[in-house]
Amino acid sequence: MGTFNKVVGVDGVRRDTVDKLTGKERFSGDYKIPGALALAIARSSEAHALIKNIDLTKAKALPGVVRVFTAEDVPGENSYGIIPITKDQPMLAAGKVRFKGEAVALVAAESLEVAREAAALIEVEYEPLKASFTPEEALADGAEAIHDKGNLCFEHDSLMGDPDKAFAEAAVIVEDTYTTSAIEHSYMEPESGFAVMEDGVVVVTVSTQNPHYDHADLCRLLGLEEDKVRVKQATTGGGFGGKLDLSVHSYVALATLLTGRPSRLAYTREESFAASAKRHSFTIKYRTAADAEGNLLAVDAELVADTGAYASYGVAVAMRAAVHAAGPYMVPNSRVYSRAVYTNHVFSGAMRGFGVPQVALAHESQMEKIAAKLGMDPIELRLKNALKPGDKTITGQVLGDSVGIRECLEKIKAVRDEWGAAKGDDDGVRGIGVGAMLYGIGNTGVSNPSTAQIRVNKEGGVTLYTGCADIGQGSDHVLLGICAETLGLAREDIALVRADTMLTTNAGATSASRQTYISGNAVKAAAEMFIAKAVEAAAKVSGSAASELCFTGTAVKGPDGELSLLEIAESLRAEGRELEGEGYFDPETVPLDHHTGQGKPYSTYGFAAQLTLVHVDKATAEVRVEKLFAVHDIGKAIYPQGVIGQISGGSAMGVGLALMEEFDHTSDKNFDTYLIPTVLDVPDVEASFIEHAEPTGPYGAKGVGEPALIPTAPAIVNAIADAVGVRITSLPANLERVHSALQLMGGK
Amino acid sequence: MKYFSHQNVTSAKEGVSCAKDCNGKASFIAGGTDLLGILKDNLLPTYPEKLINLKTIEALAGVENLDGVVRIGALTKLSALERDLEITRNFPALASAAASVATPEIRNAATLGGNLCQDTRCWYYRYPNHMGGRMDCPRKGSGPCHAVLGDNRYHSVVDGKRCFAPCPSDTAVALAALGATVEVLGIEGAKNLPIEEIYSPMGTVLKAEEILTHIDIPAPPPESIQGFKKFTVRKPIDFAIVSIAAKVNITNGIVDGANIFFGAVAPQPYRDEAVESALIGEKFDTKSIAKAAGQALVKAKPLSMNAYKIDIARTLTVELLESFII
Repeated sequence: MGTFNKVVGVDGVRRDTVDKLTGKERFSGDYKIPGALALAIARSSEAHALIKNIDLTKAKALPGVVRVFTAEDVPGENSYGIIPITKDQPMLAAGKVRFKGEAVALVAAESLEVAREAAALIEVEYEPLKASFTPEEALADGAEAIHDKGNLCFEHDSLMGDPDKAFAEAAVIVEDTYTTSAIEHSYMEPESGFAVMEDGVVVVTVSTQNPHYDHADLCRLLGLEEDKVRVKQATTGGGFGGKLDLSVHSYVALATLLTGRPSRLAYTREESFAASAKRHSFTIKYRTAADAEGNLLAVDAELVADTGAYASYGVAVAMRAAVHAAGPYMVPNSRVYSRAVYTNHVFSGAMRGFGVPQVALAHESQMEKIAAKLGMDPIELRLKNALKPGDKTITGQVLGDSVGIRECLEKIKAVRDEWGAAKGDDDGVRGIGVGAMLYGIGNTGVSNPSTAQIRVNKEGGVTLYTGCADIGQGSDHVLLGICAETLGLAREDIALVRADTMLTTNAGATSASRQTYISGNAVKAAAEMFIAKAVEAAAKVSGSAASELCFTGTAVKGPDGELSLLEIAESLRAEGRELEGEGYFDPETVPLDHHTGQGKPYSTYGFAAQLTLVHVDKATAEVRVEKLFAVHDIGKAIYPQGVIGQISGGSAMGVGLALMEEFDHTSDKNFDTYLIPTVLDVPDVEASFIEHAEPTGPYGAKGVGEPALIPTAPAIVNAIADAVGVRITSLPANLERVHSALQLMGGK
Repeated sequence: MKYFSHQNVTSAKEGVSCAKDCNGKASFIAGGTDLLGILKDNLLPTYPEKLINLKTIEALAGVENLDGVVRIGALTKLSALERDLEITRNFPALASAAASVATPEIRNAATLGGNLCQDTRCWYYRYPNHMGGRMDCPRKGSGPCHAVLGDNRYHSVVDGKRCFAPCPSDTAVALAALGATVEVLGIEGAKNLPIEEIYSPMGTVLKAEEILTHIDIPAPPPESIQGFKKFTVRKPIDFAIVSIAAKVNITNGIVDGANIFFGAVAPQPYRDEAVESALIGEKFDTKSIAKAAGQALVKAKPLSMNAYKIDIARTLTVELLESFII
C-alpha cells in the first residue's frame, strides 16, 4: 500500500476536545456507583518508625463503618513496584513505616464523612527510628536501614575511553555541583478510581498511565489469578509520570474483593501531595574537559538521586540520568556514577523527563562556562560538539540517521541574534539563554514492546484495540491517525477500544515518550497485516490475483467488483479464522553492561534546543521569562497541533522547574504554598519542530512528551547568568536564591 | 468535613445574639472562601457546631457616601469594590488592593469583611489534620511556633510575638493608609477602631460573638495621592510577599502628610513612621523618595529566612511613590 497522506501531518480538532470542553467526558469520580463504600486511609504521622500496635476499636465502633483493613488483610503479597527487582512498597504498612503519610490502615464506610472520621480514630503506637532526609544522611555510617538491603537502592557505572588521560591533557576544565528539587506533578485530577465485582472478577476503573502493569501488581497484591482482575483506564486528567505507580487501585480492589461491595476512593489534594511520587531531587558533581578549540574531551559526573522511602522508578531514573549525562554532544571519554538512595521522604518516581531535566541543568551550565572560558559563542560551542548521524554516544551507541540537534541549534541561533539586536547592549537586566538536549525514546536498555489489534466490527467497520492509556496527551488521536492513514480511512471511521485489560493487550506504559513511536509502530503493523489479510482472503473468494486487488478501507476492490469487509470476514470465519490484524513492535535495544554502562539503550532519540529571554529585577530578584522559543526534532509530526501543545505545556512546566517548584516535604500540602506557574507567569511559547524522519518510526515519528520540558530550565538559568552575571546552580532559581546570589556578587 | 448546622440571620444584632447563645461553638460565615477551607482541612482543635450565615443581612452590603465619609458594608464583595465608581474614583488604593486578591472566582464570593478577618496563611498553622495530624502552635492554644526554627520565608519581619504569621489581608493595608476605621458590633453594642488595631500577633481581637459590620473611610484631601502595590511570586492568585499602600499629601511640591503602610511583614498593616517622617517636609522627587525608601523597615528583626522582604519593601516604596510624581 502506498501512503495516502490524508491524515498524518494534518491538523484538526482532537477527538476528545469537545467532550472534555462540554463536560460530557466522564472521569472516574463522575460515575454514579449505587451502594459504593467510601474509603479513607489512615496515614503515618511518623517518617520512620516501627509499628508496635494498631488499635482499631474506636474506628470499628463508629456507626457506619463497614470494615477496617490493615496489612494483615492483604491476601496476596503485600509488596508492589514497577521495576521487577525493586518491588519494595507495601499497600498498607506492615510492621514499619518509612515516610510520613504512608498508608497504615484503610476504612470502608457508608459515607465519606464516617470513613474519614473513623480513619482519624485509628490509634497507632509507633516506636520511632532515626530518619534520614538526605542521601548523605542515609548513606552515613550508623544510619538506620530503611530497607533490609540497606539505603543504597541502586548504583550504575558508565565508562568510555580514558577520562583521566583526557582531563590531564585538557586545555580547559570546568566543574561545579548542581542540585535540583523534589517536584510534585500537580495533575488537575488527583488519583481516583472505583471497583465493582462482576461475575467474580474485581473490575477496577481508575485514573492511570499503565493499566496492564496495574493489573499485574493487583493480581500479586490480591493473590488472584489474571482473569479475576480487570483494570479499565478511566478518562485521566493528567499524569506526567505520577500515575504510573499504584495509588487508589489497590485500596478499592481490596475493599471490594473482601466486602463484595463496590467501593470508591479519590485522594484529596493533600493526600496526593503527601503520598504520591515526586520528581527525584538530584545532586550532580560535574567536571568537563575541552581542548583549546572548544572540542569536548571528557565528562566526569557523579549523580545522587533521593528516591525516598520506596524504589518506584528510582532504578530507571538513575540509569536514564546517567545515560543522558553528557547531553546532545559528542564526548569521547566519560565516567558517570549514578546512585538512587533511599530516604524517609515520600517516594520519588517517574516524572516527565525522568532524571534528564536534572542532568540537563548540569551539562548546559557547563557548556556556558566552557564558552566563557574560551571566549566562544555558546551556540557555536554547542554546534561544534553537537552529535551527528554516525557519532557515538557515551554508551557507545552509534547514532542512526535521525539526529536533528544541529538544525535545532542553527534555528535558535538566528532567533538569538534577532533578540539580541532588539534587546540592545545597555539593558543589563535582560538576558538570553540557551538549553539543548537529547532524549532516548522508550525504556532504557530493556525490551518494552507494544501490541495492537485491528478487527472488523459488527457494523462492518474497523475497531482499533490498544492497551495504550491516553492521559490527556493525545495518544488516542495519534494512534487513530496512524491507523487511519495506513488503512486509507478517516479517524472518525475507526472505533477505538483502549486501555482495558480484558479487551486489549499490553501496550506498555504511557511514559518515556514512547507511545507514538512504539505503540504507533504496533498500530501501523496491525493495520498493514489487516490489509494483507483482507486482500489475501478476497483474492481467494474472488479468484483474482492479490496484485489485482485494492484495499479501500471499507472493502477490497477487484476487476470483478468489490467485497465488503463483512463479506471477507465471513469467508474467513468459515475457515475458523478472523479478519484481524495484529501488530507488535519492540524497539531494538542492547542492555547496558553492568560495569561499563555500554550498550544501546534506545533505538532512537529526540533532540531539542530552546531559547529564553528573561528579565531580572536586580532589587527584588524577581525573574520573569518574557520569551521562549523552542525547536524540537521529533522525526515526524503525526498531529502537529498536538506536538505544539506538548512543547508549550512542557515549557510551562519547565518554567516551574526553573523558577518556583520545590516540594517541601514538611510543609507543602496544597497549592497555597506549593507554587506552580499560572498562565500569566509563562511567556507565549513560540514552539516549532523539525522533521528528521526516523527510519524505524511510524511515518518517521519519534516522541516529544518529555523532551518538551527538558531544555527550558537550563535556558532560563543561562539567561539569568547572561542578564546579571550570577550563575544559579541550585534549582529552583527562586527569589531567595537569586536574591542571595545577587547580594554575594554585589559584595554585600 | 464534619457536619454543622447552618442558620441565616437577617441583622447583625441577631447574629451577635445567636453567636452568644452558642457559647463559642459557632462561626460566622460570609463568602466562605477562607472558612470552608479551614473546616475541610480540620485545622483547628475545635470545630464549630453551627455556622451563622451573615450573607442574608441585606443592610451590610454596598458602598454609601455619608457626607465626607464613605461607608462600606462588610458584606460588600471584593469584585464589587474593584468596579464601584465611588471607590475607584476616590480610593484607588483600595480598589487596586481588592483587585489584587486571588482570582476572579474568589473575588466574586469573598467579602471585604472576610478579607479583613481571614485567618493566617502560615503553612504550619494550615497543615491539614488528615495528613498525619494537625500542627499545634500558640495560635491554636498550645505548642511552639514552628516558623521560628523552620521555614519562615513568608513570615513577619517585625512585631511578631509568640506567633510570627503576618496579616494576609491586602485590603487592610490599603484601608490603613486611607485612615479607615471599622465598626464592630458585640454584646455591649458597637465600637469603632482604627483598622490596624483589630490585629494582634495572635489574630484579630474580635471576640467569638463580635461582627465587623462596616468600614468607614474619611474622604481624602483633594491634593492627596494614593496607591497600592503588591509583590508576589506569581502574577495572579498569590498572597503578598510584601505589599505597600501609601497616601501622600503634597502642598506646593512639599510633602505635608504621609501614610505609609506595609503588608505581609507584620501581624498588622505595618505603619512605617521612619519612611513617613523622611518624606514629610521634603520636596517630593526621586531623590527624597530614594532616601525615604532606604528607611523602610529599619526596625525589622527578620527571622532566619526572610530578610529579603526588606529589600523588596524598599523597592516597592520607590516604585509606588515614583508613580505618584506627576
